[in-house]
Amino acid sequence: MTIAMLANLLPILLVAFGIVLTLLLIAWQRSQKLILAFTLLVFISALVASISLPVHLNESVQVTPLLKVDGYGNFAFMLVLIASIAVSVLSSTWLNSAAEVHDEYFVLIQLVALGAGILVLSSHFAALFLGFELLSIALVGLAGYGRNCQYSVETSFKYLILSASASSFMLLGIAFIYSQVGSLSFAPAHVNAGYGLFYQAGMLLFLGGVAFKLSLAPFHFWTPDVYQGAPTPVTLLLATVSKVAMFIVLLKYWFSQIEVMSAHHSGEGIQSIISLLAITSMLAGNALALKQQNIKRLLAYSSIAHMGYLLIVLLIISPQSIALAWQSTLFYLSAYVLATISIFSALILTSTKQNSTSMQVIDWHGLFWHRPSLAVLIIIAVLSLAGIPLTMGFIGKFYVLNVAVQAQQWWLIASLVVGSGIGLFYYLTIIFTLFNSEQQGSYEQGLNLPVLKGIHQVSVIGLILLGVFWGVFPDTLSQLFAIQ
Amino acid sequence: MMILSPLEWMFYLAALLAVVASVKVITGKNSVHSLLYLVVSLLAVAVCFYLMGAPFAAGLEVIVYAGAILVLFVFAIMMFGLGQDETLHAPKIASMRIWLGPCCIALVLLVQLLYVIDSSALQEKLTSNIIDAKQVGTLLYGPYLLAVEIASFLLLAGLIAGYHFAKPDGQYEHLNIQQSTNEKGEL
Repeated sequence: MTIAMLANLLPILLVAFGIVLTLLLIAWQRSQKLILAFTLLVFISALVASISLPVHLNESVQVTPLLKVDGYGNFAFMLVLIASIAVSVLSSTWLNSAAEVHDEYFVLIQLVALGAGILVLSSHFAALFLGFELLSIALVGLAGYGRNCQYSVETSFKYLILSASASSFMLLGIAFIYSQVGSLSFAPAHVNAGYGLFYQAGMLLFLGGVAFKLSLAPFHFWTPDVYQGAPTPVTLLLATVSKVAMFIVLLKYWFSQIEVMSAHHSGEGIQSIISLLAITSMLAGNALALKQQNIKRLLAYSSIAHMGYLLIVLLIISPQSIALAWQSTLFYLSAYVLATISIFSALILTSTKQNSTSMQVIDWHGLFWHRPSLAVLIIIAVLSLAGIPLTMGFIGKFYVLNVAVQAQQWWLIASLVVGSGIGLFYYLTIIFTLFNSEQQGSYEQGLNLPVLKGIHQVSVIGLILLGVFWGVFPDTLSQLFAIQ
Repeated sequence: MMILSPLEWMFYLAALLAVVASVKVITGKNSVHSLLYLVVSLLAVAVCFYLMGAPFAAGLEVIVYAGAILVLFVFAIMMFGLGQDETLHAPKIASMRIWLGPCCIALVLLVQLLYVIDSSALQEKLTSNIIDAKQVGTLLYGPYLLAVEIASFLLLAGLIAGYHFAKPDGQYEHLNIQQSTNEKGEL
């Protein structure tokens, strides 16, 4: 390893070093404020390091056989760090309710960020698997963090067992792929012609493991329960960090295989399976969300649909459109992460301590008249998730549609349109609820809302401005990862 | 139809035994009996590794899994008084049947191993390309150094999550007091 390699790994190394220092800090002084501040410091310094990293989009630096630092992965790591910062800040309100010093909580969040960082930079199955496991194990710890809360044991058990079986499927898939390719690297040096049945079976198993994490349709059964049972900041972590990291690593592997597949037409079976996954996710996610009243479960179903939309970018036919597919993915993921952070911040800031697992849409009844800033935040986030023009979500969907049209996937386009149409129904219901003030009792509800602190008010307004700004001027964001 | 060489016969026999033992692990009602089968299953996998010409991996399998982890597992089950769950489904008379199954499988594995070691033709095949501990070590501390580091963080994550779940409830108040004195101390 040379110094240049280490310099390219700096953001990851900072997070890793931060974890060790956090452990030392806990040994020295157990104070929740201190550890929160230190966690934020670690994330922000890693963010600064990754912004200032001298890696251009179309070049990549191989750091040992395991990791490859490139512009796309680096941008995805920034998204991960921003989401982790949001989670840490939001956790501080949730954790105040218990009487304990929650230092292991912040260590686990940093470990999740580290696992996600390894995933988005990996170029080798060993790094992929280790990052995947690091992410899962730390998330299991976090999902059941409130041990005395309702559903907490059920949640972490469900997540632990299902994620362990998903990773064992994935491991078997990797073994099958290795038996054919003879290398664990994503882009092996020698590509033989004609990989047989085992290669496709391995691909399928690998896809199953990833689809579990992305909660794509036939593998989605854990999602609503875990989303509901986990503490709300952890749900945000599950919805953003884990999904961004898994999707980016899937894309990295897939695009490295595109050339192999187009060389000898072995990819058609897998491609049809991917489009099947995408179509079922879009339709099932939206249809299941229709009658859902619990906000966290509703967001879980909506995230299934969103991952279904995004899966379309995998179905490009020629290696030439890889750059466009990357651009679409990164924009879509940025929009998704920002909207999810916004809506979860609003959820945390409006929920009282007891009812965070049972927040219903009806609890936001007439919120606009009591907390206008929070209501505007929710409206922007929901519109962005629904993909209404002048929001980031619309531009993201437009990108995805563009990729789909280029690849001539008409079935996928049809189900994207149908899915978005169904989605509008439940998204708009949320917005109508916010303005509705007819029912009695809404006044009392206004009194029950927790008081917003100054810092929360500022960050809420910041999120609103960011959402509006990038919705109206999407170029300012997309030129960060545009094709030169 | 393909004709299997003696080595392949041995391999598939050991693999079959591993599968049978694993099925017995998850169908057994008593966890200690299941663990017995699990040990045998891991031993069968170790024999598989050996028959593929990877004696180092086979040795690690026996030492790490069958030796250390499962002994720890049995120890933990015995220690933490899961006794009531155990005796509920245990057979009334501790007959020989309980240990007969694992014993037979282990015996077959032993016979296989002795046969392979005894036969010079097979030995010649197996020892032609041995990966020893030194080669594994140079790879782990050369190109795959980062994997070792990531694995250590993985263990840390498991440790912290496990500690959090196993932490006794009574600690809450104790920590609360400590925290309040700390805050006073800071002021």
